[in-house]
Amino acid sequence: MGAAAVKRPATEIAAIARELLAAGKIDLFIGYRQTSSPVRTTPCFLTPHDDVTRLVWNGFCSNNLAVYLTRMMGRKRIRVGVVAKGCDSRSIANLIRENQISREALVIVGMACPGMLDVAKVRAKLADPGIEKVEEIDGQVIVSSKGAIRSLARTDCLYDGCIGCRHPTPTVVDRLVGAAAPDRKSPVLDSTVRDFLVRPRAERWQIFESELAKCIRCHACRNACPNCYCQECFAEQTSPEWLSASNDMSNTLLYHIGRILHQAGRCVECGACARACPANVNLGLFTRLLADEVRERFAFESGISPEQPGLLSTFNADDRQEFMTEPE
Amino acid sequence: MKLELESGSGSILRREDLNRFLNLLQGSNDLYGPTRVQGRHEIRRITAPEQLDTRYANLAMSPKSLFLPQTETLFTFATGNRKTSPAAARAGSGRNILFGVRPCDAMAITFLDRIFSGEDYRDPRYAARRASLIVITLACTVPDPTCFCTTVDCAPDSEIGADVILFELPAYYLVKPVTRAGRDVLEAAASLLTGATRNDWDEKHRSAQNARQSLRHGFDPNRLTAKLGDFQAPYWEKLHRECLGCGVCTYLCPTCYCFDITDETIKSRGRRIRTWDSCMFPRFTQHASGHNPRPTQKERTRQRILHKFNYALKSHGRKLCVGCGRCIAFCPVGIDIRSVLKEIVES
Repeated sequence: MGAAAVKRPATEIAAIARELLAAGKIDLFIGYRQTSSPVRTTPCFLTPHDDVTRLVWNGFCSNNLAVYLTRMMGRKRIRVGVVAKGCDSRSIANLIRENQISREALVIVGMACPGMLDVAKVRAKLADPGIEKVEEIDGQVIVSSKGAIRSLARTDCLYDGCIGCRHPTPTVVDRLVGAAAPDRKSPVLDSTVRDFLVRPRAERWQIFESELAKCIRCHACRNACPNCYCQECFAEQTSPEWLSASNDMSNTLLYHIGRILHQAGRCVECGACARACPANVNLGLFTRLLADEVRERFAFESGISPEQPGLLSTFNADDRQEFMTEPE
Repeated sequence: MKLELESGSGSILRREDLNRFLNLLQGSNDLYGPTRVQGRHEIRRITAPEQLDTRYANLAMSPKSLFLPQTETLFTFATGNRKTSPAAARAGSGRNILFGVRPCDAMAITFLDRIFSGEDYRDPRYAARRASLIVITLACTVPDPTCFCTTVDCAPDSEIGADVILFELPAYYLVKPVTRAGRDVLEAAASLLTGATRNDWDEKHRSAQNARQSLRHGFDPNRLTAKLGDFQAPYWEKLHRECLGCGVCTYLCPTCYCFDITDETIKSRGRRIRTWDSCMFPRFTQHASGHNPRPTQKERTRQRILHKFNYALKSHGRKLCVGCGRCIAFCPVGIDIRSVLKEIVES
């Protein structure tokens, strides 16, 4: 097959969406479309007869679309086609395993993901932050702003969370777009995580507190997370009221500790929480540390397959349990 | 020099004198200004002028928490004795100088004034904080792509809500007192100011014109009001689909003011607090019975849009939006209010 025969990923996604919708195999297709900004996409919902050519695929398709599946499918008998990167597919695998969505009602259009671009990192390398056009060619990000064209290495512009990605290719997939990239086995911690880990305990707590002091309790981290599908979150319960409406440190810490701990063995490190945060709280640091801890202690990674038993619902006699102490 | 309030009056401040200027204004007052925090600009209390950094299109967070704190104690109480003690209002007689807000955020303060310190109601705590606040606006020269102030009756050089406005020109600032309080506060820095000429004003007008021209109308504001009359319009079924229901747009909005009042009790002591709330949250309209009149994101999104662009117009004569663009820039899923309103206008 000649190079000319290779379709652009967006064209391929559109063709799959058109085919699935026209054949009545799905009722809804969820992908990405460009906003008025060249560095922002937004979720795109297509029903039969909608224009599939609005669908795009580029380094700004960072949203984890799995978050919409529980909202839109839930107990409804609706069949959905969804675009999924490696991390998104792991979220989907989790949702299937946790009985939140039906595998049969889902067509997963998997993307071999090259990692998503952090606009802040791109902007930091430019003299003028006003980006007019972005092209991604062969590992390069070519940015035009005010007539100036800069070529940046893609690897320098990735989100922190994408740098150490172990599963760029979807783990559960029906239609794969692009060439599958092999899983990366070696643990690759990004510099933020490494830097955090070498600090003494008191300093780590201080970083934890100072990060969370920025929180404005908008709950974007929770709402952007596919794992956070509770019908009623503990943060919203009034009887008992676990959390006051106050954004003081004790309430904020309780909210985040509650949220983060519920991710143990479930977080797929997609970084949705950190990207959603308007207050620049480095939430990815904490969830990546948690996932690392799970990998190290239990040799476990979540979302590898829908059949995989859940970490917290299985017991292994060999599990480390040094935290169990004799009563004094 | 003598500072006048007449239109066209103003003074020149050399750019390199900005820090000295603010230092003089600060005197015994508290100064709040823009500083760079982890790659972006936020308003902080400034203790040394070197902390200031004015190279931003806009501040990441609106300044509203300075006069509408996210959590505020109204009074404390102890159960059993039926007595309450009002929380101490802010002590000190000094002024707070807020420097570096953009014209959109300054205009937004006048919206909040109308709610918390207007004809209908006057909140003593809010009013006290506002009375001590001097707003020094920094007019815009290079708006962000998410800015749309001119679509919603604001402008890159709007003076509304400012006590003093600074226009940033290539070699200097053109300083204009807007209110009497602004003129009074400028007296402290009179030694750094020289009279502005007609040329300086011409230059300011050119710069403001450039800023205006870089702004695009994302939707036709004149056709919007008539379109928003239909509570049952079919577009409400679609417009909310992307929305995750977080509070980013409302908490970052400089004009959103909705709040909740709750009690926090530990054993026999407690406090009644007023906290920010968001119409995007399920609990915002949750009744004690369990019924929720806005059960899904559809009704919540509709409420947010209608409040801002319809109800506020009817009850206050203005839209509850100044076009700062924070809801666009920070929406976790890239929802652009301009595109949403355009879809409504063109429906």
